[in-house]
Amino acid sequence: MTSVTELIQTDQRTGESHGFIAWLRPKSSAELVQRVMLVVLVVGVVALLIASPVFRTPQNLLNIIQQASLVGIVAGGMQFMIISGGFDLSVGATAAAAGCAAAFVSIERGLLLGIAIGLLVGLVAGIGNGILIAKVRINPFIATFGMQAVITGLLFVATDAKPIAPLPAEWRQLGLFNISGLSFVSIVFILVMVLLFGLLKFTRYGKHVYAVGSNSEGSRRAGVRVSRVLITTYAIGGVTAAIAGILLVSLSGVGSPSAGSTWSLLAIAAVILGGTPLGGGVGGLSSAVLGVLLLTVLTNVLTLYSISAHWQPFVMGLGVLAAVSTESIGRMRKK
Amino acid sequence: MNSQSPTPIIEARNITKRYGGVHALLNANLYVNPGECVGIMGDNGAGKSTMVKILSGAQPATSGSIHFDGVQYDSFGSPVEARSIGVETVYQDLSLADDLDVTSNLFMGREEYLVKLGDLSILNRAKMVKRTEELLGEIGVNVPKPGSIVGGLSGGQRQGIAIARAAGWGSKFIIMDEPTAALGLQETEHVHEIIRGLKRRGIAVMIVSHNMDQVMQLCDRVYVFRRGVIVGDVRVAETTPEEIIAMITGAKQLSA
Repeated sequence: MTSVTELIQTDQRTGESHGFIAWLRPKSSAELVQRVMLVVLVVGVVALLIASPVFRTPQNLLNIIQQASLVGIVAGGMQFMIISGGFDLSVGATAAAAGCAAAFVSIERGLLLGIAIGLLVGLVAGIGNGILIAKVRINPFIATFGMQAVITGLLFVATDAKPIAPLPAEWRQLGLFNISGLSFVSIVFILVMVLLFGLLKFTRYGKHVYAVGSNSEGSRRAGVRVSRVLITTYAIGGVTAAIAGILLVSLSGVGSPSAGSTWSLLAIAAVILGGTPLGGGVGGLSSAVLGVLLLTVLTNVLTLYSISAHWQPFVMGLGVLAAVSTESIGRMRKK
Repeated sequence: MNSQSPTPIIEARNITKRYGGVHALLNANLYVNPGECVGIMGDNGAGKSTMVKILSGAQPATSGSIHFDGVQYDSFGSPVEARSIGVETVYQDLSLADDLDVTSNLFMGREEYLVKLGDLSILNRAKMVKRTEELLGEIGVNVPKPGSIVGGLSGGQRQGIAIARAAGWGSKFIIMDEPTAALGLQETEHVHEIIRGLKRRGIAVMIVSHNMDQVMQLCDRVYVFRRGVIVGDVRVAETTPEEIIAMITGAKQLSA
């Protein structure tokens, strides 16, 4: 660890180096985590490409992207909420509710209106979270935990805990649509990521998400409309969850009230694995993408080598603990 | 200072602030001239913070008025509104976003855009970086580069950035709350140099301070607060630390 801290300090003193050498000297322990994880992913994928004939089939690689897509979209929204200083435990429930609403409406009113209503459900849930956190000033853990319970409860009562099926054939067509093997779900994933990346990196809103996450009172004094930024952020989280929930319906062909129950924690784990600490003010969309790819490749490897899938949470947990410990130690050394 | 009295940039008249039946401030009058540095001293609970909150727009006065740059206000609606007319506040906690870089902090809430589209406005990073370098040069703050993360800088540099943020947008009056409370000797001197620079540029400065040396070095005049009343308005050149302390503790009363 000493060498790590020295690297950080060297970089702050000299300030100027660029390129590969600079890349080897992360400015913070969060960056260090991200770079180590990136190396793990790249080395792992290259090793698998060489070692496993099954892994390197285009079909398997496309499959990995497809499997990364749903949690990936959720993690993209989660990334925003974590940078803003919070997180959202209700995204899984929101995804299920949006999927069920879309499925239900589509039976009578068609696919398009179904999708629109599903997205609206996500928007409303997200704005609800945002108001609870920004205006009522409830801590994000309690606010979104409560929201998750409320949504799940309502959903199970409304659906009698039964899946919504059969659905119109358009759902299946949507699920099977692809551009030279790249599925609809993956195309949406890539589009959503590009959009979120631009929003976070280049716009005033994106800059203010960081500002609020770093020092909300200071941002407010500087003229940032903190409530508005937070509500927008949770709205984005709700809508991304809804997109993932609706896409899941297109794959599974049913609207399931118990869908996405693991997504909230998976998405948070992905963001942390990708090198964004909880607490706010730091991180980037690359964390969400990196973390989700790591988790998906891990699952894929376990399947390919017929290793028990129960090792997935074990390895994920170790990775999260290692990431958080590195950042925590880095912060202590800095002080 | 000139012998003929210039027009004050800011003048608070008969400011009273009550919380329930208790007054935090009673008929307080003060003014600050352009290029003048005024110190605010007094014991805890004497009304200094209340006056600062009213002048910075954080709280309205119960009664009284503020005259700023020739316009009369009952109160500045909010810190943002106060800022928009040229009143800036440097808070004791500096209110910086430690995870963000120097440029982002300087331009927080006043970003420059390539395309203006409300929340979706595209930031003009290059323009802001250029202006950051100019501004820090003008104010005399040394930081490694505009892209440095603020949390990694020294206390003096951080204070300098907070002051540059306050001084950079044509502000005419800057309130500073304990500007060097957390700093070492050298850094304090650096900040003092920055404040003298502001005075030379004609900016009116108000410093809330417990540090007698600082007030005697930097300020032209001192207002002494005691139990919600301004008990002294003295020229630094014509007084002594002992006299000010006597006013703070109530051992001596001097009419304003």
